[in-house]
Amino acid sequence: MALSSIVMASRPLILAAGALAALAIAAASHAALSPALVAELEARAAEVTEGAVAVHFRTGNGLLSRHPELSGGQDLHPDERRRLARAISEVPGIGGPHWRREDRRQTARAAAGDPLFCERRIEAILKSRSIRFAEGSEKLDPTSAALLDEVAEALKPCVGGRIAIIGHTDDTGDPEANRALSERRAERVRRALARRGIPAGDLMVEGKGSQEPIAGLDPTDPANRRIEFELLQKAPLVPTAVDTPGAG
Amino acid sequence: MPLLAEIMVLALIAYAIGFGLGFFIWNRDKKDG
Repeated sequence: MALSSIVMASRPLILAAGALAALAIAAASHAALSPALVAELEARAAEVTEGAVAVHFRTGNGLLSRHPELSGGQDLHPDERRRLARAISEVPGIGGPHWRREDRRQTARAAAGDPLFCERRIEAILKSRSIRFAEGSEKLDPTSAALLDEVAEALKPCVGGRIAIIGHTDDTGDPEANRALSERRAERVRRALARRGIPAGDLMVEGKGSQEPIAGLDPTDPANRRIEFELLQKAPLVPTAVDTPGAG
Repeated sequence: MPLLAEIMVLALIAYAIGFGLGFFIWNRDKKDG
């Protein structure tokens, strides 16, 4: 039949025309329906987060997206941040959330205003997780690598000050051996942090062995095996034009 | 991925499936060409 032979001859054209039509219909549906969809997703996400973090359903280029960018919540415990991200991703219709890269200037300003900023952030990180070592040795457990990344990130705003890394052990075994071990462990942590961008000169190392068990815990409790961080000296404030007397 | 891109990909997949099915059925009806 004439019609079918015409169709067979121009099959690629028909294919292309159909594809273009499909794309045009998709674009039209997007323009008409997507803003309402995203508004609905934003409302559902707001219910889940209760304002703890900001949720933006936009890509880096500003286009609408099902995959939200999360920001804020720097004071939250990392487990809480993960829980929020998981809860948001479980809402039907929402895709994969990702965190915005931390605004370094904002964090630096916060750190300058609060001398305990970095200590508190590290305390939050280490509250339910600890830097682990191989039994009786100063070798870092490979699972602690991610944790050390987070600690290094938390310390970055306080670079320029002095930070003490203090190793503690539990009460089992020779006290002098424990002290030496805790110092070697603190030194390993210092090197690990130096590899992650914290100047080694900023980090002081101390081994306290079993002298300072956690208050309220039995000294032989293995939970006493820990690394603590202490800010000894704040980073010097960089003077701005406003601070300089006689300026403008 | 932007929402527009996801919708376009879905539209193309639906079109490809539809086109393929339609072509298959159309050829089956014309069994002997």
